[in-house]
Amino acid sequence: MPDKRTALFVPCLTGALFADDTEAQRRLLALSGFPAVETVGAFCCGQPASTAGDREGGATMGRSWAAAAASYDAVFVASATCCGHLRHEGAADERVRYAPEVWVETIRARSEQPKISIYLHRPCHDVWDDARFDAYARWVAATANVEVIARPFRDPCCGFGGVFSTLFDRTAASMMAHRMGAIAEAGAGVVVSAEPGCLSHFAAHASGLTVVPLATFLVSRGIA
Amino acid sequence: MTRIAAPTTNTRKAADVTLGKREQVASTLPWEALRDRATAARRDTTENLDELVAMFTRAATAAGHKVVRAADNAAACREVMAHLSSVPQVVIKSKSMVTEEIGLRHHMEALGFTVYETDLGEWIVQVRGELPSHVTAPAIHLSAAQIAETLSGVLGKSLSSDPIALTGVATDFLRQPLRASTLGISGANFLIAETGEVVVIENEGNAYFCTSAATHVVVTGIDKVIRSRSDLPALLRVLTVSATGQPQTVYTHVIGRATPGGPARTIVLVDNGRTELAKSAYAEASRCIRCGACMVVCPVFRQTTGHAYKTVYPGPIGILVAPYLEPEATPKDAPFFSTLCGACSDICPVRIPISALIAKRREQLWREGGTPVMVRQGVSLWKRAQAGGVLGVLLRPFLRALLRYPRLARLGQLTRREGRR
Repeated sequence: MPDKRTALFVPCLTGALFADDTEAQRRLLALSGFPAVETVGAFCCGQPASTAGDREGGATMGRSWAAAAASYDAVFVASATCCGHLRHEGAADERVRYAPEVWVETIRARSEQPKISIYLHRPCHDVWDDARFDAYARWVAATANVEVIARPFRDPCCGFGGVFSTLFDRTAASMMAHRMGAIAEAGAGVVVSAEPGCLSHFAAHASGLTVVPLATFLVSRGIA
Repeated sequence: MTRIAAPTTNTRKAADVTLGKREQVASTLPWEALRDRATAARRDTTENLDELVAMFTRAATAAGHKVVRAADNAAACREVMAHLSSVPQVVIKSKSMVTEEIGLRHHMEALGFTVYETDLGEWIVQVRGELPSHVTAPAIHLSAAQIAETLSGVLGKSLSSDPIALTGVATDFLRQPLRASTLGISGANFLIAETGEVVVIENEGNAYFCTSAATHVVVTGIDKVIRSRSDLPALLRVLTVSATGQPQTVYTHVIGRATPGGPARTIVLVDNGRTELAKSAYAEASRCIRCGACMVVCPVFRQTTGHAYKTVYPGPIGILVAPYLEPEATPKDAPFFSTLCGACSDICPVRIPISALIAKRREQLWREGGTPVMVRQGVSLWKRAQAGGVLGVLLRPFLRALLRYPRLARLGQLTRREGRR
């Protein structure tokens, strides 16, 4: 759709902590058939306000996000939780796509780099059901030529939780220590996710493991 | 195939065993249909609480038991003590979260009674001077070695950390009061409104002694009432499978009509905020059957155990019920002691949308101005940045820099009074 206006939304956490990943996201989107992607002029989807309890504030932020995105024919968001929040608030219509979904549907390139093991983190508030996440994991494995290890711990959440890990930093850090130990023990050296919030928590407690956003990882594997 | 890593806390270790057994047993049952049936029965309780409590009171009275209602903690303790005037000073107790809630043991001990918690886990936390760390597994936070050390200190001899040997030691110690005491106190898992029957389930046999002592006092919440016997099979099934992964507990006591020569029984029905909870915006939490599944699956609970919540009722469901049942003990920031991952809602056998209700409590806290200062200020800045304009756009790089500040969380600690957890 080269004649249509497309844009990428850069979530607040991505812009702060994984700014380089936006360039990798654009390269993957170009590979998916969207070569001229602009940037949505919004700072945040509103999720931090909603999860803090300011439901009206979160809705207002969602509406201003929708206004900023209104002029585009397609908007890509590489965060499941931002995407989910925007949909929940009615701020995202069918023009708003979860970027990894577009990559899974369109990218058929294959990495020729040596195989490695990774842990592909799934956020609690995913926009996908189990079957779609499993299909995504298989796509990542085939595309990047990696072994995606199964989750090596039973705990359902990384311990980020937005406000939670800010208010209860010691607890959140100890939760992550268990996950990191389990991942290393399982033989994976890299943690990959499209979710900036979870990634920020992993990165803060990485100790020996490499933590990489999905798009950056795929580009590093020679995909785009 | 990736192996699950060894658990790093005692709570996580025990929780994994329970969850594994639960999954295995539930897979052999029509689990979702049982959840539906149990949910419907408990919804009936919440929506018709006054009617069912009145019905139970009439039926239990007609069955020969004395039934009294206590509005709050102090009244509940008074009602219990009112029925103990001519009994010995040694009391045996089986496990009851309601008695923890109203502080009954401490109240009785202050009056000179010797009270034995006779559930193994409950006895261990009693001698350690702790609260239970889980509603059905009070000592889930302890390793066998820690328990051996505790009991070695109490009994004055060196004990091994072999769980079977420790259980034997505890049984030997508790046997004498269990057999000798003429006064037993128990809780109840369910009260059947149509028949006036009291249902108590257990695994160790100790509750039998408590419920069959010459004087038996049942102390339980009014929310334990269910309409009929036909509700019981589904409720017992989802309770035991969710709590311990057992298809059923070792003992199920259904206490019916009083018999000549049998125990003189008083049933103390404690309200203490339950009516208010059942009529509140969080009424669905009133369906809780105290199985503790939301605790063993919660990533925060699994790391911290129940004591970190600072309330008798810990874990995700505790965040919802404690503000009503223990308002003074509940930390103001309790709704934030959750990642809102949703695992609690998924596992709850009576389908309480726990995570959504915790989010609702955060909204209430926001409206009341009780949200931690740092969170309020952060949200205010985020809203300003999102609103745009010159100030908003200038603010954005500042906020991005703030997010990169590795000790952002420390800023939060400076603005909180609840103490670090």
